[in-house]
Amino acid sequence: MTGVMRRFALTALLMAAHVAPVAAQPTTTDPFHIFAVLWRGETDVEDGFREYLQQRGIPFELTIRNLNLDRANAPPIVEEIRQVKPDLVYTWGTGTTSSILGKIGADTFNDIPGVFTLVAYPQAAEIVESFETPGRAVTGVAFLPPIEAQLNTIKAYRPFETIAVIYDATAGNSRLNVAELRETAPALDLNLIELPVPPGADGRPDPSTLPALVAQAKAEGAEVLYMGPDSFLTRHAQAYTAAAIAAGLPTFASTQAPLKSSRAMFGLVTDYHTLGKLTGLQAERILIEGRAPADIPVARLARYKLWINVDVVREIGMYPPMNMIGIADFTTSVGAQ
Amino acid sequence: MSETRNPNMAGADGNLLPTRGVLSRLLVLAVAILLAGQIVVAWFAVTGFERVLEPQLEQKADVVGRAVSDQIAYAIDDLRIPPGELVGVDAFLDEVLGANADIRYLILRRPGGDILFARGPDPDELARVIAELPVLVEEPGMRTTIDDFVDGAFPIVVEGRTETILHVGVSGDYVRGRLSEVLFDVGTVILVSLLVAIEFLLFFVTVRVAAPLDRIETVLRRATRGGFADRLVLRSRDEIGRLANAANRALRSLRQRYDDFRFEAREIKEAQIDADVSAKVQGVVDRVESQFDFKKGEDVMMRSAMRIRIPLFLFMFSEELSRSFLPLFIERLSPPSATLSTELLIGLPITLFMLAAAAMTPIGGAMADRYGAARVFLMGVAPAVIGYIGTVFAQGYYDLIAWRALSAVGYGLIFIAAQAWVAENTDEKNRAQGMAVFVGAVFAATICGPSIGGIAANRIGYEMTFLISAGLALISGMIVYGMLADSKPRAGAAAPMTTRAAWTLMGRDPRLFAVTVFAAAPGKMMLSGFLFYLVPLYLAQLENSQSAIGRMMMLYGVATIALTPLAARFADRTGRHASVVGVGGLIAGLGCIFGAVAVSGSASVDAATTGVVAAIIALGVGHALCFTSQLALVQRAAAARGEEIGQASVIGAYRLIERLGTVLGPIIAGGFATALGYQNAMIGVGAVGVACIIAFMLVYRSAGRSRAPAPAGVS
Repeated sequence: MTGVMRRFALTALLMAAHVAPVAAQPTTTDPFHIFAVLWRGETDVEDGFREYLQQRGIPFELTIRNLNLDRANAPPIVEEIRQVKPDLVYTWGTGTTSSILGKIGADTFNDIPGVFTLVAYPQAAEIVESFETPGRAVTGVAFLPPIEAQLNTIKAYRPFETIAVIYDATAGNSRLNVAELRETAPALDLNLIELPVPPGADGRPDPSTLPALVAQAKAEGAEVLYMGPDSFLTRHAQAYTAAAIAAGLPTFASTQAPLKSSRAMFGLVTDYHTLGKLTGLQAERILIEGRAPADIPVARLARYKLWINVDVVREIGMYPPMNMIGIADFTTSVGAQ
Repeated sequence: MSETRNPNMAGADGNLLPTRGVLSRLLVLAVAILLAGQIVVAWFAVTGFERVLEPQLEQKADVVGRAVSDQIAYAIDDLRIPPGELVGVDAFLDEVLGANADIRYLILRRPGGDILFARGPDPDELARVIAELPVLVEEPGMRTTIDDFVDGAFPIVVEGRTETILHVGVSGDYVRGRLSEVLFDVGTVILVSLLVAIEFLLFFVTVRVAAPLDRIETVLRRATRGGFADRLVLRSRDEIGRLANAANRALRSLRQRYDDFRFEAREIKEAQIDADVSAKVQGVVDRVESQFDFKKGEDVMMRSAMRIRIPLFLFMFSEELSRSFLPLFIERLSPPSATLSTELLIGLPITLFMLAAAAMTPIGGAMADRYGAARVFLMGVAPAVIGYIGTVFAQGYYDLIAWRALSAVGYGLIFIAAQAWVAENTDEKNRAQGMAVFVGAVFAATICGPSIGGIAANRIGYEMTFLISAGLALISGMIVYGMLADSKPRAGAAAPMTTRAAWTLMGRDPRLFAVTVFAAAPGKMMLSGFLFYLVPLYLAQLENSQSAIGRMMMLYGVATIALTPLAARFADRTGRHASVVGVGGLIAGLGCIFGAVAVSGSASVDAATTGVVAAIIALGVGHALCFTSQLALVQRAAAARGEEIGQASVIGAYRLIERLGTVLGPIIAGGFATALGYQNAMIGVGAVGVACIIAFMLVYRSAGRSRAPAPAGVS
């Protein structure tokens, strides 16, 4: 999938950061034990998270486990957490969070607080009761830029009129995302073409249909493809964006992964490093300030990054407007020809 | 010199102001020297500004040119976008033009000459420039002069090859515009500082020199006729004070010698055996006593109506400072409202201010009778200052209204207190001159306030300007504090006029009704509705700077000050007060209408501004004609009534109803503005003025025919 992303077949990676001087009180010198469960290995989010805690002089010890893209790997890790009783459980992504921390009403770890990151729709995924008051010992950070901001970015690039979304209809995040698109697109004079990926023989969405779906979108008049927080599509982003480029269609991404690891043309995304720091702030509120996670509102970034892949731009021949050139971050394709 | 005249009140010639002699020469000389000095300093300042501005503009064009060409270079070189395929360049260049008023055009062309993109407000101008662009550009930032522009050329080089060239044009117009703006500001400051200098000179010369000399003269004249019993009461220790002391000492020594003489005469008288001789001695003593007065003199005080002028001027100045931007300041704090338009929301605080001030006048009058004018003045300073400071920190629309209302309470009290001071310090004979002292201070403030306030707001912001107002009001209070001892309550002053009583009075006399309701009140309506409300909003909409707005509003004051004495003299000489009022009202109203109509076809912002300025001047001219003649008509009506009602009551009723016009002005103008926009609201306000003045002329004429002609010579 990617050369940029580090993959570790992780055992325990222990990191102890001692920024605070050795003090008399044992409670302050004892590092907090944070148990992190990830979906597909470490990302910049964890870097940002560590950096924040170190900057703040919070001593911590990080245990990292990985679901390796499969929820079935969750039960043994849940059992391990129950035994080691860490100070905080950290979860990455919607799948990890709901399989480790569970949904509203579940008290998997008997009040061990949880902090999630990179969850697109924490309320709709029933991880928290509401953004303002999570209502259980779990809070965290939502990461999607508001849908209006995403669509405005698309319109600012070119006055597009028709947009197509190809998505995994079996995933909750994707369904929520498409529902939001459906609601917002008309107000911005955008026609929306919805193309769910059909299931294969195993009942799961079939990646081999992606080129045909792109061709269908093109045939129905789509000028731009939209890529939401869709795990399936992110996994097959290389094939998907290659098909899009072949059809001469630009792809807009609302998450960082397709821009980093595939050939989406542009996107309005959350910076993972900054997101990790914001997650660190949430952890500080729980561990140092002693606030109840149930009352800590789910945080959101106020600013997002406009990424443009200049190689894809050139290949499609769809240059960004001058006004965007001053504010965008330009990247080049990973593994481009 | 009349024996019945109160020696405390005025000089030998009955004037409150020094009209001739050394003092007026001093005034002329001081003003001439000040003016010369200021012009020299201003000349240095303006030429200095000229020298600094031009290179700075060129430098700015350089900075903008480099920034824009860098971004285009990034697109062409780093992103490898072919220059011809750049997207959204027009929008990008427009954004740069919009953010830099001094840059007139941006052109992107190929080295060969093909124009890729060209942006600027005027297509013809752009075409002219394009035709003259330099073919060869040797170095980045190379300057050429094209027509009235300074053109900066910035080649965009990719891999050693010039791909495109960016041209940045700075307009000479802009430099000149900025320069004339500065010149206007400097001129305004010179005019205002001269006015202020005259105010202070007049004040010191009158209060400290002319009035005391006049009192000393009075006392010496009495001594010439044998009156040696007077005593000058003067606190100052300057030369004048010493002179007064010397006169007092001379009189005292005379009185002492008279006492000695009487003692000796009594001794001599009692030493005589011969009754005849004794009677003769007594006869001499009696003759001396009948010819000279050593006993029944009085304390001659240094009272002067002029003393109120400086504090009153300073206070009115403080209120006038915000005149040119108050509606814009209110607009900034106006909340969205479902029931009232923004225009009405802006008008409302101004109307409430006028209403609160008007409501305070009867109360203030009664208070002045009871506590004395100076004390009431001080009572007014407190709420005014608190109101100003509150305005500085106002958080929203409603607390702004509250702070302004508080200032209005102070304004109303001080307005009345100043008039009461004049009444305390004048008698029937020189009351009119005393009122001129009052009106003069108010007029001077209407010139100085809006212009200086506009300049201040431009440079330090609306809020800080209100802080200056608070400071000025405080200083006026401090001066009046020093006058407290000389302010005595007046006994038996007239009871304040109530609105109902005023209307009853009006109802009884159609001519009085016509002057007040159809001439005076609409005049005030136009003042507050057009000048105070519409002018700042409309001129701001026409993109005039705050100091330009203040300067233009100042023209109203200039026109009224310059023409009021002339108009008064003309009306008094011809006796045609009613005609003068009619003509004045027509000029004011028609000026408003034509100021808007004459330029309504033109899209030019400058033409529309010129129209507004013409209307402001017309309003000033019209009001200059009306002011004294209206009052003369009211006095004539009062005189015709004879003893039936006092003149003071008639004038009180007239002022009360006139104020209703001031109160209604912003609401009427706001209503027009809501429905028709600012330009047409000018027409609306002018039309109301014209309709009213026509009604005045018709009613006044028909009432004149149906009644015996009014006694002539009252003016």
